[in-house]
Amino acid sequence: MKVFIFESTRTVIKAEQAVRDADIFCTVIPVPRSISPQCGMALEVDDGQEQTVIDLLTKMAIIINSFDRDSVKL
Amino acid sequence: MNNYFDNAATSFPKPIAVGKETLRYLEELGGPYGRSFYARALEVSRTVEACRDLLGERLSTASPENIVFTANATQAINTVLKGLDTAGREIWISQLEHNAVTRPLKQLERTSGITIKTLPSLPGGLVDTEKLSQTDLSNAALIVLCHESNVTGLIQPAAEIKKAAGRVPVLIDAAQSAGLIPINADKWNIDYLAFTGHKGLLGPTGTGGLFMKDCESLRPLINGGTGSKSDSWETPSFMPDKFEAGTPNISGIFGLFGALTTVPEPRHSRDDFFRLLDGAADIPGIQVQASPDRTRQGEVFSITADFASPSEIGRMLYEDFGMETRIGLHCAPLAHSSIGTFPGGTVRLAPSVYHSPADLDRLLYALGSAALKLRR
Repeated sequence: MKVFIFESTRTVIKAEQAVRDADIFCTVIPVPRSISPQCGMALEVDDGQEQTVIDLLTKMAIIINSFDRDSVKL
Repeated sequence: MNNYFDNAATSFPKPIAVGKETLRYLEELGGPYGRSFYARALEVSRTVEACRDLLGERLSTASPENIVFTANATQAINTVLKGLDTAGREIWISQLEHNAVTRPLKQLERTSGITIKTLPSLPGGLVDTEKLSQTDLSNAALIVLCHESNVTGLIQPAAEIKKAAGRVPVLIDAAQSAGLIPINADKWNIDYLAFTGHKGLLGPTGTGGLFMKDCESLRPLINGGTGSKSDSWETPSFMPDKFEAGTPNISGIFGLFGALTTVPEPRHSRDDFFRLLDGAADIPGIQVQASPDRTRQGEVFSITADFASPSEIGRMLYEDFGMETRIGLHCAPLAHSSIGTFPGGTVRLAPSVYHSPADLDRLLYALGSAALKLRR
């Protein structure tokens, strides 16, 4: 699984909507502490969808960071 | 039957969806905006952002992320006036400004040494764009413009004024106009636009916002928690978080979202409104304070009379006819000085989209009858 984090609540909401509209399954999870100490939401998607999601959000000029789910601690 | 003619103060009634959405948040949903990941927080955050997007549509901007929520237009105006570097510079204002502009400027005059200058204007307060383009604005930090006067309803040509202002940034105070007059923030190249949610947009009180073309040009008015970059003592520099410290008025934003999703069709026409205005002007002894140019008239105007004070007229309109109007200076002493109604003030008549032609006729009848009684 891949975890995407965003800079603001607005960008999470916009990203989640865009990913769902593209028929990609995603789960909203808390931002893993080992990635960032901020409160709020991150998106978790299947490994195979990582590049599609990156392309999609890059087109929307949404700034993202992605991480391997296994490499981060909640 | 709708006797409420104080819609320039705050609109009433509201669309049904305003109450429904507010209650949906207060009774069913609850939870924070951002800051958590569970479904409740997600749904709240979705609705807040959907509201921001709808505001972007109403203001015709492709950058809704550059709209931040505030408690009202006053807070939005203060954010600009106190967030810009203006020390020792000039701030130019129209003759029809509200105290939401003049009071923070008086404070800046004392604390930052700004100079308040008045834009060249025609009778009635319309900014003279020809003269403005010839005015020396070399030390101007900002032009502030009341888009629609809350006293006379005069609508300023915002796009032309921005063009005439050249490089000087322009702050539009759209407290009266947002929701009632088409606004095109991008096309007009507006730098800052302050609006309220509870007047023409028909949302609840305690809502409003600020659009800014360049969010780096301002310092935030307040700083605090945003749910982002929480490890830092510094306020985030990105939008909208930079200007939205603290928990927002979520129930109000839900109500505003309801208002924006169900825009009512006006129950009266422009002709009906002008029949009211012309009818008032035809009553002997009554003077109408309105825009000299009908194409620049919003749906609010004032009256004065040579036979009674505004408070005598307003009291009779209410006690004898049940008509709720606004008496006084309407927090705009500068505007009243400009049109010659200071310090006595006026009776302000401000219908809403919910008034039928019959409602306007009844107000006109009440006005005529009150005039007859008071002249005796």
